[in-house]
Amino acid sequence: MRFWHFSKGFFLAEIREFEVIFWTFVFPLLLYFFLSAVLGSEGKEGGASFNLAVLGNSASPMGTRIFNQTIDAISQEEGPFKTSTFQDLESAIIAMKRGRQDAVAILGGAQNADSRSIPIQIHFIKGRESSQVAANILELAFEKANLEVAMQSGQEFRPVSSEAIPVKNSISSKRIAYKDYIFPSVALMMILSVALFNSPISLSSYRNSGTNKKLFTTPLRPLEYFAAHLVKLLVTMLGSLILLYLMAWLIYRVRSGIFSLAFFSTLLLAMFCLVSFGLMLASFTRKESAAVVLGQIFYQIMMFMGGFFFSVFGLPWAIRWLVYLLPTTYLVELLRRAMGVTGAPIELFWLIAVPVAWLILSVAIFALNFHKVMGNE
Amino acid sequence: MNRSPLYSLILASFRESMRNKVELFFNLFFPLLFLLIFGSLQRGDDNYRKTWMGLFQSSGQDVESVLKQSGVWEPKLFNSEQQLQDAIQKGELNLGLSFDGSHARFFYKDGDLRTQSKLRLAQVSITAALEKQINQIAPVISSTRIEVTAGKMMASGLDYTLAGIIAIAILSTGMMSVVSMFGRYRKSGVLNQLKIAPLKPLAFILGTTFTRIVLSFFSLLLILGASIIILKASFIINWPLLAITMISSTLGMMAVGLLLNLIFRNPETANTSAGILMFLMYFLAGVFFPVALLPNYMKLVSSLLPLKYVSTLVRHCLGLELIPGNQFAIISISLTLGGLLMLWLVGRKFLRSTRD
Repeated sequence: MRFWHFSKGFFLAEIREFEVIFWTFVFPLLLYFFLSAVLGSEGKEGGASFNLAVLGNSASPMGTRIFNQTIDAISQEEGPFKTSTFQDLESAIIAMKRGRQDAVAILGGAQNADSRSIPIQIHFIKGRESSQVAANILELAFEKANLEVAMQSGQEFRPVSSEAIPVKNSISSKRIAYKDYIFPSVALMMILSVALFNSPISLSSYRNSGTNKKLFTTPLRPLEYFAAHLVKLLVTMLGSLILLYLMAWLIYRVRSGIFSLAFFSTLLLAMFCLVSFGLMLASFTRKESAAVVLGQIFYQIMMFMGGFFFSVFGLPWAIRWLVYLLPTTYLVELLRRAMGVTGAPIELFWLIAVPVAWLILSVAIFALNFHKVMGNE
Repeated sequence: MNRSPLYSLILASFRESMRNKVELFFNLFFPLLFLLIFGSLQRGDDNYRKTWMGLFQSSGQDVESVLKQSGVWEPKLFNSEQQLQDAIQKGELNLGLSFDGSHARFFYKDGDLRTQSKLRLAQVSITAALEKQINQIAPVISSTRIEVTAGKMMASGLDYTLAGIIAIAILSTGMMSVVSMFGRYRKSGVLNQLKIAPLKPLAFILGTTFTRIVLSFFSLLLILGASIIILKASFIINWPLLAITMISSTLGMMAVGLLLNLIFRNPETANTSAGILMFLMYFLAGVFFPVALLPNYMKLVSSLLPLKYVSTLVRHCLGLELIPGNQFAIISISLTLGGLLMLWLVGRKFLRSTRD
């Protein structure tokens, strides 16, 4: 009974902190909403629109007609281009340099001596992503226009069919929507934030403020205190996960295996592995400030280099070794596998073995420093 | 020797900053960590965009030349479709093409959202180029791509990303430092002690923020050094203008930070609000994903944030995109004057609210 009273008090003290409420319970929901809203179209250019400066100087009526028809086709109401007509190249280029236009299309210009085709120039800003994408789409539109003219001219035409095929790491891997795909990342981010911030910071804060010393004058034993700390973390993470699940289930209609036993087991493994990692960090630091700094460093590295949001297996080996060292790389992949998706070229054995190895190592280091961390030396 | 109150405040603030390791970390090394992570990720991505396309061809006309002529892809040949898929599976390539003379199969890594976003364009453009070659179509119109620079040199995508991170670093150092500092002062009662000192609002604000501006400058030097030495950024830096940008932007963001402190009396709430603002800016800076592909309403939100204007100044100072002198002057003077005015107003209110 004493233990549960203490755990309850511990938990209530934790959630009275505004920062804990926000970063643990509200932020994951906001992040999930934001990522789904922004990237929910899965990379299609649906929402994108580009500004195109157009100049027509050709004396060829046919060239002018094809050019205008192509420009009209790509600047309909649904885009992707909004066109503006310019009288001279210089002002169009200046407008592009100032960011008012993404690309410049000019009918006319220098013609190849060995070609009877009508030249079109596409000017774009190198390195500026919007400009490069606009130039790519524009070039493609003119290529398509050439094919269309050839087909309409009655010339024999052999079409090329094409398909896009995902390369899977297993035959059973399936395609899922982005809102499903991102769910494990957001859930792991929340667990990571509790494990690397809430846990080490509260441990060092209680130790440095002398609260622990006062507590240890009561019949409460260090192991009971530590168990209550773990219960508090577990309840905090479960509370946040419930909110995240509700959002995923009710709003985004995520149905891809997030309620499977494999998914729940991986979440549990992630909680134990990452909480142990956080405890290991706490055992290296005496001051609260050092816990904050170490937590931030590992949080950023584990999140971005763990492949939560981008594929990290194409990185140069100078950095890729770090990807293979992090437990989060394996945990996020394991969660995705539980959803039926295979994204990383890693055997299932290693996906379980590496986080378990980190768990054992972290617990061992923490156990060695247990009394130091608890402030009960 | 009699020291002026301003000098004493600057000295005390400097000593306090040097002792505070968390503040030192977040001001100096956190932007560096961010830069190294995203610089590395972007470098890998740049290689893919410029060159690699795995190719296996079983029959039909020469596809290799079609890919080379595109100027976008550098074909890497494979002896079988399986080998090509294995290379993609291992992460050696992001995209591959298998062609049998009439059917093109484009392979990409499952779950790789970054490649998926470019896949559609690659698929349609390469298929069109193949049809053109197979059917020996004499083009009626021939398009030529002409690269233009908006600055002093031909910049890469990585240069733009690094400039975005530098702008974020300037903003975050300015805002976060005052939010945490004044929150701490308020909580520890330091502000109550300062209220009995004969300090004018601007002297009070300048005295406490001067050290943070100096720290911002060191942070800027660190991340610029890392960008150039480690990530091989090709910046041509205009140092005087960069210093102006840094000071004006830091002042502006400090004012925003102070405003948050004034609105939210609880230091933790102010800190969280600043975190939300920074979170929005991280996402809309084009560091995580291209701003060009964001929905229009997101672009509108992006244009309302100070990041847009500070990014414009930073790109100008690094030689990526030059803007007219008067535009530079208007933005930086607006940021400086706006920042100073807000600092003065907020400082006055701050002291008054503390004195009440």
